[in-house]
Amino acid sequence: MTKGEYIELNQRRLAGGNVTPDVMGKYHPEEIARWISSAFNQIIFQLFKKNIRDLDLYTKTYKNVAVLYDTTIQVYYSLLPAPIIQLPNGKAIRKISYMSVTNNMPEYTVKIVGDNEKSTLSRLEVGNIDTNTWASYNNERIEYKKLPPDITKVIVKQVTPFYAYGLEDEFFMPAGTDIEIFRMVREFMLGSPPEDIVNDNNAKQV
Amino acid sequence: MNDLQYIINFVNFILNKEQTGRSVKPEEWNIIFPYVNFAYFKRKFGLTEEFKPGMPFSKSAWEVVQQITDSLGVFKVIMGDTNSPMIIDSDGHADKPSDYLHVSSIRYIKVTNDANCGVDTRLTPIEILTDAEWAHVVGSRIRPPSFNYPVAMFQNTYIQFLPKNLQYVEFTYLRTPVTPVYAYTLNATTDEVTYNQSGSTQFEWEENDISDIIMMILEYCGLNLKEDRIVQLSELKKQTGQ
Repeated sequence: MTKGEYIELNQRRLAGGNVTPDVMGKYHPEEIARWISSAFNQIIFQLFKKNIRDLDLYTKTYKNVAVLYDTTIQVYYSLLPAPIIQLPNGKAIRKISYMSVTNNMPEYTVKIVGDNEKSTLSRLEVGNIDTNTWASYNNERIEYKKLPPDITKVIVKQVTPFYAYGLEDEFFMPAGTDIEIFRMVREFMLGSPPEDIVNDNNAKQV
Repeated sequence: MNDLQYIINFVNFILNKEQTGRSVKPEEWNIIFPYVNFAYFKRKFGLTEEFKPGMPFSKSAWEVVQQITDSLGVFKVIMGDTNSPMIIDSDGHADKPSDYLHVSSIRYIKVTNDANCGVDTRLTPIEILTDAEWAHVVGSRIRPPSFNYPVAMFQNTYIQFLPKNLQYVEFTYLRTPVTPVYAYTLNATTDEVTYNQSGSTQFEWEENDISDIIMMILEYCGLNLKEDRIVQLSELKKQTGQ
């Protein structure tokens, strides 16, 4: 299902059928997307604890992510193409590889390490021997070490939160968890107090 | 049945009045008809007087059942579709139509290029906000107005839209009913009233609604003529619909 379809399914369930503009204030698609995101994050974290390899099933691929140069600290970097789910041990970005791959060259994968590790390794003997590109990242950007100068674009595969998908993007939930996610969303949204529909400068809602 | 003279004849029949007797004068029909026209419209659309605190619902409401949609459908105007849409200026303002009475829906046609270099056209509903909600929604970090989720707010003579550059929207509304006019000539000698059908403006309602309109007319005629039985009868018919 696409992101838009997931949202509409929840909206229809909450509204009891066809969704009219009247109920947009109560069950807005963007709000539902945020709640689905929160519920999905819980599921992904449980998955992360069980089998980290399964996270690859829920990654989104971003091509042609530009490599930029920070002249202030002389570092090559790329801005994150989308927000990431905050997973422990930096496992939200599953893979970074060079965009340009020819038939004679294997796919070059960047080694993802921690920021401190990147700094330490670069000062050890391994830093001179290892020809791989290293990268570390935070919530804003990916920073590279030993990036070949002719690499101007990379491919990033990361675990992106639900709300950052486009409405027409296919979104995949772990099998058997979609009902749980819908249930959580309904609990989030139906437990709120009634809307104050009277414009009378009075905070009382009932 | 949907002819003013027929309605007058039927009302006089119930009132058991002769044309020249103690009955409603011809010019008084042009006082009754416009009022009943609007009163019936209001009843069909929904009476705010029936709202209860915390429950703003009336017994009858626009499009709550197909029958009401059919009754009021003659007053429905669509700006858009095969007609000219509602134009929005650079400030996000659109003038209300001069015959506007109630809004039914507002839609924005979002046109985007799809992955195959084609055009994707999607109708997006526009949420109507109150004054109290406007500031919160416009400043919202989660759901600000956008081309995916445009919003509107009704002002005195215009409608404010956001985003401002929507350019045009489809606007469906209920217009003011045309005022029915009973045209006649009065013989100065005999006081005989001659109905002028071609010069009259009829009720626009469907045949199905005319019986209810007649009951409303009877109620007011009964009050005017101090006929309590007529008032009670029309009230009963209003309750039972038969």
